[in-house]
Amino acid sequence: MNQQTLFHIDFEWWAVREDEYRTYIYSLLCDKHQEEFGYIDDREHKLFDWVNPQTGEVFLIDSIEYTVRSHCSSQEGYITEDTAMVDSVFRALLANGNQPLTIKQLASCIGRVGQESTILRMLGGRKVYKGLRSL
Amino acid sequence: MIQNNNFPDTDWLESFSLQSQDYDYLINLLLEAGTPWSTEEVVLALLDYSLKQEQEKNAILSQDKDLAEAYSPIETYKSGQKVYFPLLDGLSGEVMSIRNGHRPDSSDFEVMQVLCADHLTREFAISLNPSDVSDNFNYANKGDSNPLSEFSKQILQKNSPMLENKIQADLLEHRELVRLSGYWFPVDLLADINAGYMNLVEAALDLADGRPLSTKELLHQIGIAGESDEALLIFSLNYALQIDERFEDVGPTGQVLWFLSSMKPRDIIASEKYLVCDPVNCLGESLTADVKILSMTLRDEFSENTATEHSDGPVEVVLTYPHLKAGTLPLSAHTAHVFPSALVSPRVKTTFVDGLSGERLPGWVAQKERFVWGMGPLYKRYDVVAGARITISPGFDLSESIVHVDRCNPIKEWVRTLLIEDGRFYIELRKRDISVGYVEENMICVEDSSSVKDLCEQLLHNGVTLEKIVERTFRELSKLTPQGNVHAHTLYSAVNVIRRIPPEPILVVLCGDSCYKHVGDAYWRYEAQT
Repeated sequence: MNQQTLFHIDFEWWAVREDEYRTYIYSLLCDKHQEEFGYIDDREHKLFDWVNPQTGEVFLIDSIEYTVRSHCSSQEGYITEDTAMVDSVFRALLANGNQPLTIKQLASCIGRVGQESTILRMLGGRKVYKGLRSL
Repeated sequence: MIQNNNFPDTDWLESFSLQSQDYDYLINLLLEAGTPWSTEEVVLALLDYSLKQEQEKNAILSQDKDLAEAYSPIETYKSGQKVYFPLLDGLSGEVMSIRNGHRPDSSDFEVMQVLCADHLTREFAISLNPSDVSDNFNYANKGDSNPLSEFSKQILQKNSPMLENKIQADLLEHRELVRLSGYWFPVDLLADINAGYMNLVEAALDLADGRPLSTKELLHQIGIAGESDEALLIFSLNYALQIDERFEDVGPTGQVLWFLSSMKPRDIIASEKYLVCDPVNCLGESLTADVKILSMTLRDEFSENTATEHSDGPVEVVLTYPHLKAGTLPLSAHTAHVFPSALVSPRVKTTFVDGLSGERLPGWVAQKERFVWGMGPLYKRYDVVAGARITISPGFDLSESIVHVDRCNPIKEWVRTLLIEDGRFYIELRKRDISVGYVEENMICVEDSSSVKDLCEQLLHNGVTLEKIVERTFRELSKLTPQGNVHAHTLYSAVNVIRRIPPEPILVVLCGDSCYKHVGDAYWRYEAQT
């Protein structure tokens, strides 16, 4: 594992933690959409076609995740200085359509240039955080 | 990589080498461009050219007329149509079915299901509004479809080090092109920088009073800026300066800064004498895992573990006698990240900032010799001893490092002291004022450094082996404790007063001679055989 290794969100890791994933994704919604979606368990789970902007490939995803990717991820405050590093990486990858990124690219996306080695240690360790894995 | 029938196979990459037509092609490209190209641009252009040739060759061989269409999300497709995806490594497939797309915030679009060459079914957006499409697909919108270029980029992305190394090696052998700081240009097309200009550069650097100047600054000072394309002038001047011994590039990675070789401090050369040392090669194989770990904890710059460590914070260095005398710090895998580095320049100018007084001192990073010079005044000011702890932190920018000597109130302590009498060295405990924090095992003081220097030269001249030095040092150190045990770090520190040597050869002596008994942890005892 080195600075060129690509990292992504492994959704298979989340598949066995479905409830946890829904709660976590809900927390990524902006204030407006948190109000709109209401309490997480009350809503109907709609599926939408999400088009990967890089490749044109289509994936069916949950409406909340769709909203995060297409709207909330571009709002101010989606990734801030106070966001935990692991959360920032997850948010950056989700916003990027889960296109695998190198440590350097991730550091740049989350505004932590110069902390590449810390990010590498976090993602390259034995424990998997938030499904973040190397390819 | 997933292959398809539309792109040439990439097996040829393994044996890829440049042919004469490749050089001609590249030189023509650079001629047209008129400015130097980066290695990546050069490699990409050559790869593109080679791929085109391979594709043409394959087309002739296969006579395959059944070409698929390149995927674009703004186009429409029919069931049964063959399609390939330049942005997915050229993956190809056949359209199986088409359905309406479903998303809340966008105009109507369709989704086609494609059975791909890797036997997986994937879905792709089609009939999208051009405004919803990423820049990735812009080449399709502009009618400038060049999937082969995209394919070249993907190949380069996946084989970058291998391809760049091969192509660079070939280009360097060819000699018609020159490379400078990762940029290439035909040598015959460089701007003429004559001897007069070079003398002006020398004068400009002389007047700068020890401050390195960038190539751009030099261009303005010698008055040729604006005479030709600036990028080409900078490249040409850099080339002329590089081959002239009067000048030295001392800039960190990404910056070219020129300095007069004659203005380099003479003390750097003197420092090299204290620090000259052969790197360890494969000695570690004769050491056990525990002993290897023991050697690595010393973090000697000439040890085997020379791979750069990924670190970004302050580092602590335990000073050895050779560095103390030379006024230097080690440039090792452990410390490399706090000092500026350069890809080409053998010496890089740096600035030490004294963490205690804030004073700024000039320094030099000697990359090949693995030391950073310029600490002499601080060692003298704080009465630093071998074994002292020095903390180095990255500075505010690439060109400076903050050094912090662990200073304390002077206390009289009994410390190991090496002294010379009658042409032999002895180690005794002597009382001395110590005013810096230190590591007990590594601490060693020297009574008279000039006589130590003379003895070292004499021992070297007489061909006294490392084994002999280790034995004498060990026996001297063992007298200082009731048990006669000697810590490996103490031995390393003391041997290095007499001869600059990494820990591995010393540990090889300890492990390979039955007189030395390992008594646990990092301690050995000497038991002379009868």
